[in-house]
Amino acid sequence: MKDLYLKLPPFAPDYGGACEVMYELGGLVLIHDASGCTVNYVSFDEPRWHHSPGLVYSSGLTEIDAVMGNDDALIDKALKAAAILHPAFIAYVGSSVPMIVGTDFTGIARETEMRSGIPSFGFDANGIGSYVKGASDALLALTQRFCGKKTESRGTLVLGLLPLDDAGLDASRRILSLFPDRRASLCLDCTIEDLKDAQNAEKTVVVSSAGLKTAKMLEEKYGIPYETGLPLEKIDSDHGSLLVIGEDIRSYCLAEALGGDALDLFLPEGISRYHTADEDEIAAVISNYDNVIADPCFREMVSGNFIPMPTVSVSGGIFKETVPATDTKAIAALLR
Amino acid sequence: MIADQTNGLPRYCHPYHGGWDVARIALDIPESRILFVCPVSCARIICLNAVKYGYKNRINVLALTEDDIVSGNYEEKTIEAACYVLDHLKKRPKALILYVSCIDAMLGNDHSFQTEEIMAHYPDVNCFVLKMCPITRYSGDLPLVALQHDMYAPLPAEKVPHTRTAAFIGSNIAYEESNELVRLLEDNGFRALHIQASDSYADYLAVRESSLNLCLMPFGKSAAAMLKERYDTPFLPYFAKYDYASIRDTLAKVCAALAIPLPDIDAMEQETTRILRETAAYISDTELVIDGIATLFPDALRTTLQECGFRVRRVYSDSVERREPDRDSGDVTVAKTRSFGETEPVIAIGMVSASFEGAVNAIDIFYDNGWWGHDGLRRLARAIRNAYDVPKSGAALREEKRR
Repeated sequence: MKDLYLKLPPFAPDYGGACEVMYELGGLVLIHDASGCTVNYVSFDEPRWHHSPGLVYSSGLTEIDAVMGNDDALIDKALKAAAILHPAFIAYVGSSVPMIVGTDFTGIARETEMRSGIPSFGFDANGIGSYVKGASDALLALTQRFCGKKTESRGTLVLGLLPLDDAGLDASRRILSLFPDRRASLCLDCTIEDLKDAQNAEKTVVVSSAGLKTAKMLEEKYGIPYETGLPLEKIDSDHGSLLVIGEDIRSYCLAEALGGDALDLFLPEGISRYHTADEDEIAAVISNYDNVIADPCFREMVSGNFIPMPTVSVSGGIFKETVPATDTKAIAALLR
Repeated sequence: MIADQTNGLPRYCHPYHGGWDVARIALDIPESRILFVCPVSCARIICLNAVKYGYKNRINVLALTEDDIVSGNYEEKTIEAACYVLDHLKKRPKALILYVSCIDAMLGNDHSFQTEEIMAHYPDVNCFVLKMCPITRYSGDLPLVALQHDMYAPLPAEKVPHTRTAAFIGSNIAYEESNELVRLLEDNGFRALHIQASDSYADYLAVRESSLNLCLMPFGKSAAAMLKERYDTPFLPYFAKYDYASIRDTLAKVCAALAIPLPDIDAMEQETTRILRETAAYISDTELVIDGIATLFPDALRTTLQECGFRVRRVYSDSVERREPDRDSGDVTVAKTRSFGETEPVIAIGMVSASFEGAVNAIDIFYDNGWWGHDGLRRLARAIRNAYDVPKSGAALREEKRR
């Protein structure tokens, strides 16, 4: 039945993606929720939470404030916290209840900026969209706002690298190591200065769909060429049919390196052969393949050879990595 | 009622919740199954906890779309999904819980229409609604209090004769056989009924025949009051505390209510004191920190531990028992100064204080872990000693739980 999850857990939502983008940039981020969505994010969608400080909080939305449209309470909380924390910017991120009551995040951000002088953003996430959309919207908005005049053209800017795309922080940093000439990565191991300096890159490399819109904007506005994908070693091995399930660009690159197809869980279109988050549709696709590489949560749906590759976006970091996503030789050895 | 005081600041949310969420608590109803009906993100934490702790096979999710919400179509869709789930199970559950989230409070649904139709199709299934709605925390009972109430409300209304049974209401974990309350009951011919320890729906129904409900956590008070009104079952709302006087008082009142003899409480106190003092001497100058997630009564615990020779550096309280001034509060100001990394040579009782303090040694305990009274204090003493002998930081304990 459509929209019914019998075996899989729900995947990381849009507000998680937006918050991931902003985590290291020194902004005050308020998820406009009662607290459950924020707990969701810090518990399972943000591996950096235990290792480095981030300023992501819940607005503590109450039923009465939602019904009465008391946006002033939200703004007052943000300004009070900003007076203590001195953030580089303020961002409001929506959730399901604000969607129901039609909260105007753009207006709230504008008023916040007028009252505080601090650059402010509003993202109307709703807990229904995918993390890729939330991350993409946030990265684009921040880059558009903070990038200034181009003064040089040097180095590679890695775009769209989020811990959500990998098994954990170590795995994400391994992806970073594939780009030794990088000048910066947005948004892992970065600062607000890296963001403000993005227009000075010589080229950009989009490593997940979250970075694609921003790369196009940088190309259009600053003439910075972009390419997509990871420089994975291609392996010519003899194996049965292969399906890689996950984020669009990541899955496609791995499938291409190993000789297989990709299924993207997070966007309606892209470079993968399949795009769906529907459990029945995924099961139907899986049944056509001999080998499946996917998060361990998919194991139950696979009758063929299953190679677990955990991603935070699916299983929230509860599984350990078994084989690095960048080690195509090791992965190929597991194919049948 | 527990107040939620953030002083006009945003709420700081810690990821630790002991692996206990509203779904896991509700699934303490034996032979039950959950269908979450909500925007997809609301059920993520629930499902991932279920995967982590091995009960995902009892949870399904119907993800609501914007179209469903705008059109109201999800009311019919919920019935369809419930029937689909029940039709595709090898063994049908005795109870199907439709779990809704915050948006339900905004939409004003009539769930009786859904549950009645589902039960008309499956008369052997008790279908009812539970709510995961933190947004309503100022609009009535706190969510965890309301949850306990709503878990017992679907019991059949008909009364049954009371038996020599005493039910524990309001705690997530069944008390151990070694607990003095359990011993007291069983030694005097009473059944200590904890549905959390049962695999049979019949034990859930047996709550109706309890002669006395023991409500040792505040979360169960509303449920116990409802059970008294419905089944004339008296209840003792003596919340879990660690001070000897409260333990003695509780034991005395249970004995009086059930007309059973008082055990030798003096001997219990002497033995507990001996164990605690020995443990305090064993860990020597190592300080303790305690948090309000490890226990709802951190002050009572601190006092008892200090009286037995422990050095308590700090209590990280939530907003419960905000009476004393020398307290750090679990709000944004604590978050700003929290430690990253594990370098502090303290033993943290609770994963939140471990994280805030940067403790080298952490004890993973959530809302008392079902530890109560003298047995609970002795178990805690063992945990402190273990933490001292084999230091594990909060990060190490988290890593151990990865699969």
